[in-house]
Parts: sequence; structure tokens; C-alpha cells
Amino acid sequence: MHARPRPVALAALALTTAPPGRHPAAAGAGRFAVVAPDTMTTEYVVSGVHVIQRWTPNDDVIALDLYLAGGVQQLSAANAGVEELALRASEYGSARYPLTRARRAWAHTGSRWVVDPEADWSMVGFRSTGDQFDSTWSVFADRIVHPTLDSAAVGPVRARMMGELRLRQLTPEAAVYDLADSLAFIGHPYALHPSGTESALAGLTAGYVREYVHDQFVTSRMLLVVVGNVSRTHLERLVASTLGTLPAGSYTWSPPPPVPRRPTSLSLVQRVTATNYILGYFAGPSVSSPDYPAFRVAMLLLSGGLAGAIRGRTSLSYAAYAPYQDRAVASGGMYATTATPSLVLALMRQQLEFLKSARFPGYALDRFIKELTGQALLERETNAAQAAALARAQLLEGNYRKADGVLAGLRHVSPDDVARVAKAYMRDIQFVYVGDTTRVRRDWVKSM
Amino acid sequence: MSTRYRSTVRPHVVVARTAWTILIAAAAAGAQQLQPGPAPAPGSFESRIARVVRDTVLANGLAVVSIENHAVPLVTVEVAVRTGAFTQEPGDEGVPHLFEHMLFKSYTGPRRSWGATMGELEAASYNGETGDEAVRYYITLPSASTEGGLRALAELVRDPDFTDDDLAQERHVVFDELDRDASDPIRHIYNAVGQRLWTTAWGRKDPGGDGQALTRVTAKRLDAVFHRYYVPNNSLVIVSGDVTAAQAFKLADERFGHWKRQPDPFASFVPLAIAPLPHPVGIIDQRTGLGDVLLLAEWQGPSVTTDPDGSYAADLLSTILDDAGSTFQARLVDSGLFTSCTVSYLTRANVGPIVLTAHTSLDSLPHALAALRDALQRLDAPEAFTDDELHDAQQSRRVETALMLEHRTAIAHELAEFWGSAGLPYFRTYADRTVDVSRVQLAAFARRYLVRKPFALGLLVPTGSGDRVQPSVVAFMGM
Repeated sequence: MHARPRPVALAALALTTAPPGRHPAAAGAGRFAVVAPDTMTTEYVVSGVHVIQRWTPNDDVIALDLYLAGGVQQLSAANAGVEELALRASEYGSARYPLTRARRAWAHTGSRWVVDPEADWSMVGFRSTGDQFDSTWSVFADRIVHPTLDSAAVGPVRARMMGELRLRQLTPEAAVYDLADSLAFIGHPYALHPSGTESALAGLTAGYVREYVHDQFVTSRMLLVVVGNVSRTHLERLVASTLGTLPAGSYTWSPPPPVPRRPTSLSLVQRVTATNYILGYFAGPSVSSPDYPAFRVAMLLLSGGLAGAIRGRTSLSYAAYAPYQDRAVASGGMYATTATPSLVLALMRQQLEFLKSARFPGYALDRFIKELTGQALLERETNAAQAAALARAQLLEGNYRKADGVLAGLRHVSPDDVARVAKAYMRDIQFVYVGDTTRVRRDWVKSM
Repeated sequence: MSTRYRSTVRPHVVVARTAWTILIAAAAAGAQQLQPGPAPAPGSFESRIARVVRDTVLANGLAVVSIENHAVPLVTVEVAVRTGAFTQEPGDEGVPHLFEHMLFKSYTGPRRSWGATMGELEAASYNGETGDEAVRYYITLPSASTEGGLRALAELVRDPDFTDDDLAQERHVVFDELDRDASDPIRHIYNAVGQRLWTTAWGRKDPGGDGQALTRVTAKRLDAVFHRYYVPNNSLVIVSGDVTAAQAFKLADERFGHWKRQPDPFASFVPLAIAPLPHPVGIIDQRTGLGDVLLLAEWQGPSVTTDPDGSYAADLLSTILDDAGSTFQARLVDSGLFTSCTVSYLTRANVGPIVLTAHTSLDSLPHALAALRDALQRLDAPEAFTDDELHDAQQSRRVETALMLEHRTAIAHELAEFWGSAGLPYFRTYADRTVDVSRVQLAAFARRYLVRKPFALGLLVPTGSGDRVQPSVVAFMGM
């Protein structure tokens, strides 16, 4: 027996924009209540720096993220990792805050320094409390505007990043993900990892990093997102005297091209492991495509189908699901660990075929869409998460207001849409297998 | 369902003392009234979270906590049971973990399937976790479905139906979970060090368990475990999110109130006895293709039940040592000897581990180990860290607590884990106590647990380099 379908008020995602305690109680108002439009978020430009600010007057925590648009599109195989390296090495001192002073000044604030390089952008920021915001900003801004980036700064961070890459390869889980990523996106910017490779990092000298920062840390690439109790006037003054003094540059965002398609393949990696790892990726639509919402829903259905078929009903795996990569060009995949790869691959094929041919009842689809909506809300719990959602909407969709309606298009997704996007995108799968290669044959994936 | 074998993340959140206002709500819900404690000091973390975190105890002994947060229209409902690896008897290693899996499989609510029930409730997520001192089950769902969530969790923990057929199936899922861990060399070295640190108590520290023991488990045995530990007077319910405390307590009482109190499961319990390590022990694993050296050292640290002050000191000292600008990091990392070196402590009732993880190159290892030995031996000396470092670490803890207070779903999980090991009173005052730790207390902690104390050591080294690294490792262990 299934639940009766209920209408979903997806505009209610705007709830995340309401100040704490202000939105109407959800009980009795449907699953998600509709609230007034977001009036707490503003957008402005200060000396060439694009700022999105959400004012949350009751919060003690302030999340500040500075985004450098472009991500791996700015990089090449030879310098991949340079943005992460520059941002991490900036912690080793700047003009106003030489190494020891920089460390002490930052430590006095207790704030958290965050560096997060992604495929579509590099992010650097901090999490602080209101009373420490100005002190933290002072050190933060100087790191971005006047980083020292001498060999004493770049050398240790480069060594650490290279070590982290080597350690990562120790775990088969990370190895299968990294390999699948590099194979699925051959000929596409996403084939580059924002943290780079050991060989690329080895060639990045302090001089090169400084030059890169001089050329690339320009205001036309920047988006500053602040969520917390900071006044606009104050923030404008801080930005104007620091980030606003950087060159404007001439950057304009272009979405990455479609991912080149290649016939389905299976790459095998022999490794002594107690279980075997399977991951296959396929390219999805771009964020601007009308297929995007249907693809998102289809991925959730696929994930549920894999979990049910491979774990729930047959107990062939502890972990079986469909990973989803939310980037400017979306992608999806199928993942499982198992001692019986032949059976699992057959079930993966079966689930794909089912998704392409079956018509899900409307109420079943509705339930999955509500689950997605709930997950989206869960991901907006903190100021940092809200900042990330605002930035994603601005950078990928050109409008921060879409952050709170990111899933709005889902309500229009029909069962036919799911089957259509499954047929269109869930093919040409690049599989990677890590484990006992005597237990698997490449031709098992050909029909996918 | 995931398993927490061992975490290097330490609990770091406080929960407020029961507030006066909530006593009224609890009484209205038919719950047992608590006596209010002294009001928290103004400006303390305890007073800040008293505004949102409330607790009570139902007549059947079930503890209920409400964490109010109206930022998004979601609620997380969580049930924690005080069991896990520490209650494993010989031959039962891994049974609480298998049990956690089986509970979802054996759900007997009206839908007869946990997945279908979650679908009906439009759950955003659900999961279970088995640790060494608590097992947790949780759902996040729209706040309009709070009652349904509480009902489903009440059905889950009160009325499972274990069958040998289900057990035969689910066992394979757990085997794959264990195989995933066995495939990971880093997890492997953690387990190898754990076995050496806890010696005869390892079976009651490792929630993952033993494949052979899992093969022998029967539905009848699961039933016995269930009836002993899954009782209201050994459990906690947390309702966190877009619901008032009064609503949370009322709904908890309605859904869990007639869960019948049972004898104290620990009345005839054989306490977990952990033998002190007589001397340092170690293992060198050279089977991986890693070109570097990964070092893991663990000490037997404080039990929060007998030395709570030691647990606060452990967390503050970890914060001092891990700060990028600390004397410790300057000697070991900025010097180029290690690429990273971090220290943590895991709050536990039955001896929490102090864990040091470091990464270096094969060439640097001899000098790195000598410098590490020197730094560790000085941890109780005045020059181990400056007053500035101490103050900065205290500030860092304040910010960390503020960040955790903002993240109510995460607080629910932290609170449940704290409850299992240390109890709610400890949880309420944890942040304030931790930032109050003095230099003298830190030195005393270091002397009691770290400086020249036996430890278990594990190294992942490049294949074939075991003989090369052995002399420096032996010298390090002889410190």
C-alpha cells in the first residue's frame, strides 16, 4: 500500500531564508508551508567585487565564502592544483601578517579557515563568531590580497598536498572514485582534479604560484557570499579597502562543454582486497538544460533501485547506490562493493533497463521528489550551507534567488520524463573495477 | 547502516541544564518531573544552549531530549540505546552491530517494511550506527511528520521480529561491510593498533566484530540481546528541529510512554576491565605500495566516568597541539620532518584512546621520530606551549561550540554519543569546563597519560622497508 499523493509546495524552500523562529509552523499547513519571499538577502557590487549577503540578525555564527569562478576550466594538466596550493600557502604569511604574526593573529580569533577547490570554482573562507569577525577578516583579506607565497610557504604545502594524494590512493574506495573520474571525463575539463596530481604539483614553484595569483586573483572572478549578522555598510567598507583593490581582470564565466561520449567500457585494476569495488559514470545534462530536473529525479530513483535490488533483496553488497555529481554539467553513476561482481553487474543492468522502460506511478514519483526536497532543506541547516547554496545558484544558474527554488522544477517531472532522460543520459558508461579481476569480464558491461 | 569502529573525532558539544520552563511542559506531557539544578551562569555555554536544549525523563525511565530549531521545517528523531561493543560477551563480537542491521530488517510496523514506512513519512534520511558505547537509530523528516517518525522509531525498537532467514541474508551485508574495512590499509592499521592497545579487552572495544562469531549468531541470541538492552530505562529519545519542547515531550510520552520499564540491564553486568599496557608495543605493516610512512600511536587515556577533568584536559591539549601555529607543530611540521601530525582524544566511559596520527617520508622517519619523542616527553614541561597557545585553544573551543550549536542535526548525534559514554550532566557543562582547563591541569594530564607512558604503535611503510625503519622505531618505542 502506498501513501496518497500530496501536493508539494516547493516554494516553501524559501523557508530557509526566513529568520529563525519566524516562519509559520508546518503542522496543518501541508508538508512544507509557503512563506514570504526572501527579504533578508541582498546583492551588490563593491569596487568590482560581487557580493551576496544574507543577514541573519539572530545568529552568532558568520559564514564567509570567497569564490573564484572557473574551477578546473582555469587549469591545465601542468598546473592542476595551483589554486588550492596558493590558497593553502597563503596561510603562511602576508604583507601585514608575516608568518608568526599571521598564525598568532588567526589563532586569537578561534575562527575556522576553509579552502575548498571544486570542479566549477575554488572557494576560500572562514567561519567565525560575531565578536571575532573583524579580526578574522583582517587576516583573511590580507592573505588574499597580499600573500607572501615564498618558497617557505609553498614548499611545505606542496609537500603536504602531494602526501595527501599518495595517502588517498591507499584506500580502494578513493582509488576507484579517482580513476572513474579521470576516465569518464577524458577530453573534458572535469578530467582534471582541482587538487592536481603529484607530477603537476611537483612542478609548481613559488614563483609560478605568485605569478598565477597575480594574474588570476582578480575581482571579475570573485563572488563573496556572507551569511550572518553583519551590516551591509560595514561589509562594504571592509571589501572596498581590501578585495576591492585587486585588479578587475576580464573574466567571464562560460559553462563547460558537453562531455564527449564514448561507448560503454570497463577498466580493470587488479588489487588485493577483501571485496571488489565497481563504479561506472555517465554524463548528464547541463544545469541550464530542461532535462536537468528530470535527471536529478531519475538519479534518486536509480539509487533507490540499486539499493533495493543489490542490498535489500539479495544481500550482495553493503553499499549499492547511484552517486550524483551536481556540477555545471551533471553526471551520475552506479556504485557497489561486492564479492559477486557478475551478479551485481547484471542487477545494475536490470535497474537501468527498468528505469528506461517503466512508468513510475505519479504517487511514487511524488514521494521521491519530497525526499529530495527534504534533503535540500537538511543541507541548508547552517549559515555555511546557506552560503554554499546561494553561491551555487549564482555561479551556475546566474541568479542566487534560484538557491531556494533549486528543486522547484522537480514538481513538473513526469514518469515519461524520467524514462526519457534515463534513455538519453544513462548510457555510454565508463566503469572501473578495483579488486580481483579474475572474477569479472569486460564484455559483461557491453549491453549497458 | 554504518558502523563506527573508531573515530578520531572527539565529542565537543554541550547541552544545557534542564530549564524551568520545560519542567512545566514535561509535567503536562505526563512525564516525571525533574528537580531543577542551579541556574547556569549568565554568558556561559550552558546558559546559551539552555534556551534550545531541554530534557526530561518519562515515568518508564526513558530519557527524552528536545533541541528546538525552527530554521527549516524538518525534525530529526533519534533513539540511542546504551549498548554496543562494550556489552559484547566472548563469542558475541559484532552482535550489537548485526543487531542494528537486523532491527531495520525485522521491523514489524503496519507497513511491514521499514523502507515503505520511511517512504510514507517522506523521510529525508534515516540510518543506524553502532559504536563501542552506544547504538543509535535516527530519521530526518518533515516536521509535520514528527509524530509518525516517533511512532516508527518506537515500533522499530520495541517490537522487532527476528527470523533465521532474515539473519542468514543480512549476515552477508555485514560481511561485505567488514570486507570493505579489511580492504582499507588505513583501517587495517587502526585495528592492528587497537588490538595491541586494548589487549584482552579488544573484543569489547571493536563494534565491527568477528566474522566467525557473526556466523554463529542465531535469531534466538538476537532476541536475548534485545530483551536485555533495548529497554526504556536504558535508552534516550532525541527530537531535534522544528518542534517545540512541549510538543516533543508530549509526543514522546504518547509513543514511548507504554514501553515497559525492565530490570536494569547492567545489574549483573561484568564491567569492562581494561588492563594497563605494561610496555610499548608496535607493528610495522610493509605490505602496501605506499611510498611514505603513516604513523599511528595510541595511549590509554582517561575514562570520563572516573576522570572527567582528564577528558577536558585531553580535548584542550589536542586543540593546542593541532593549531597550525603551535610550538608542537613548529617543531614537527614546519620543520619539514612530518607533513602532518595531529592528536585527538575520544571521550569514553571505559578508557578513551588518545590518538596521534602522523605522515612523513621514509627518509625523514629517523629524525622525525626522534623529534616526536622529544616533543612528547616535554608535554608536561612549561615550554611545551605558551600562555598564548592556551588562550587561543580556549577561544578555538568557544568558536567550535558556537558552530555546533548552529547545526542541530549534528548536535543530536553528538548528544546521543555523549549520553552513551558520559551522561547528560557531563554534556551540559562540557564546553564551559573545557575552556576552564588550566596549565597545571594540562601538565597533570600529560604526566598521567602521555609522558613516558606505554602506547601502541603502528606504521604503514613502503614494501620492503621494514628492516630499514626498525632501528628508529625501536628507539622511539624505548622513550
